[in-house]
Amino acid sequence: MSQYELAYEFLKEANQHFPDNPVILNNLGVAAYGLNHEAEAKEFFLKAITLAPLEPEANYSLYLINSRYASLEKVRPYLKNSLEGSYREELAAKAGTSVIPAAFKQEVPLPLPPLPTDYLTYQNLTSFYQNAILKLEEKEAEFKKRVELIAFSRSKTEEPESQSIPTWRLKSTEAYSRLLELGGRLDRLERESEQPVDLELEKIISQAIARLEAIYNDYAKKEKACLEVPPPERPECLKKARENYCRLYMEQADYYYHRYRSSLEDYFHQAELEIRNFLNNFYFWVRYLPEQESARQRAEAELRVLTLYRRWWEKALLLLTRIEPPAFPECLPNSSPQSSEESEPAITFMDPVSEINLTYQDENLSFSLSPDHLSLKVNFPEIDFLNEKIFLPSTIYLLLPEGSNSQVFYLTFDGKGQLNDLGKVRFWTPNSLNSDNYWKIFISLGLPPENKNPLAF
Amino acid sequence: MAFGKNYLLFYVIFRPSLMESIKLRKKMLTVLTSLFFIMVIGLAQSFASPQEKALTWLSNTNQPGMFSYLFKYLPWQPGDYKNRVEPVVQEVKNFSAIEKLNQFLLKKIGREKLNDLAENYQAMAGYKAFDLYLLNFWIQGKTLEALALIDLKLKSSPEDPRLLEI
Repeated sequence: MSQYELAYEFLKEANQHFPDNPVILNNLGVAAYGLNHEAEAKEFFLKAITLAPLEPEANYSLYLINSRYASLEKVRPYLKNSLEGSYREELAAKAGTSVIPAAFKQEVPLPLPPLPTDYLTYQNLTSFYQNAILKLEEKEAEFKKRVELIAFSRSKTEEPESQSIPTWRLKSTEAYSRLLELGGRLDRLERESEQPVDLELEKIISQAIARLEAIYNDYAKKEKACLEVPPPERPECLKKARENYCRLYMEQADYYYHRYRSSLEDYFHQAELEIRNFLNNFYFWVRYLPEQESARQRAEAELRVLTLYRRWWEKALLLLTRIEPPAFPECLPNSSPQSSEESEPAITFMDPVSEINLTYQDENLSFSLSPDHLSLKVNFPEIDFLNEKIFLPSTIYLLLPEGSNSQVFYLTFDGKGQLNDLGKVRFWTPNSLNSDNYWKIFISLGLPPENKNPLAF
Repeated sequence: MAFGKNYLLFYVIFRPSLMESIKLRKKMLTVLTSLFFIMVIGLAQSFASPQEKALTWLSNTNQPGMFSYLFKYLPWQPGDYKNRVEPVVQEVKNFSAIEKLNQFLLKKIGREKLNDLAENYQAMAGYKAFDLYLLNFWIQGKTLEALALIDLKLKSSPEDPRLLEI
């Protein structure tokens, strides 16, 4: 009986008891593939992805197997799903496009400036906008200090990293080029993307100013005419002229505000998508940089995004600051109190993995998992059977002790033993596997990518 | 890299079963008791010294409920295993999987190194963070060492190999 036959039998047994475990199913697929039972292996991989649609190893195995028979278009979804499960550089190169794991796709809280439906309410928000901008400027000042502090500490503390604890840092040769590309996108947002909207807004503001001025001029003429009518009729004439002025002013202000609002909303919608997309990708890639460099780039990018965000609020206020208020206060009905429901400006920079900070220590072992590295040291006497070291592509699921069912982390290693990705698992939650007080790992094996002939196992 | 050298495929494949077995064993107590009994005695026959350590560990450990409950069903108690080896020698064949794993390791690394490992790493088998020790070997590419650690665990924790019985 070969080791694959043995393994296959054990896994079948395990699968009977736990049919819903995608890792067992994936490994069954690997064992079946090793035994040259390709059709059966495919079935296991398919079952595994039914239970955990983004299980990276099962998806990649399906991609490899199917790519021998099917067109690239048909098998590409497996590759995409694998990358959405976890990132592995050699797979990403095959995908052609940038796909980041689902764990990094999050909704960044980004409340947009309120743009009410009518000019009067908009006008009442003047002080709200002003306060919001002040707050954002204060926050920006804090961020600037942080950038300076990081730059300063960088020049002061360039020391070699401690080698006392073996550390596996995230590695990707793609990171720098991806981050450069992302920086370019942010540049575009800051410059090119803003120009059209600024031009459009400026045009609307100019037209509004001119129109409201014309209305006032018309009123001035009417006022002059009223002064020429017999004295008893003058008050009524002036009253009518003022009422007419107010009505026209509000009509036109409302009209131009709606045009302004429409342009601004289109811009906000587009820019918001861009920023969210930028942040998701940025937080994914920046982890691959050396620690200091990562901190610097993170601080700089967050400052730039915050500045962009403040400009959104300034744009929202711009119309109010440029057009003249009506000549008579009575044109604006009593101001309604500012709604307390308006969203305050608040941008929270939430790195999806920043909260990963696992540590464990006993007298013989020291373990820690951070957003960008894994450290693990065992103090037991070294065991070394002096055999060739074997590294296989694999995704390791780490379950925390003490019933933390929702806490499942993944670590993805490539065939060279390099850590390619780590994060929180979002696509699969084991139901009943960690109810005791033990750390647990599941190792989901990948097929060697270069191996297209199962007999070559 | 030749995939044929993937000794740890055994581990990878065994491991989920082992971890999940703890849940299941509560449901299958009667079955488990007999399996437990057979396996321990079977193992004791082949690995007298490590088994003694394993059982000593078992009797000394403060593992909650499960072990002590299991022991109630045994016709003997840990520490008393030597007296009970003989009657179940014939059962060894039922556990060829464990045997084969052990034979595989013996062939690859020799009894001496396996014994060294048992001596140094015996305590590890009961650790809360046992899987982290395995992770340490796995990420260093020391798959054979990890497999030997699994072998040690199987010998030391008789409740775990239940799923290896086919």
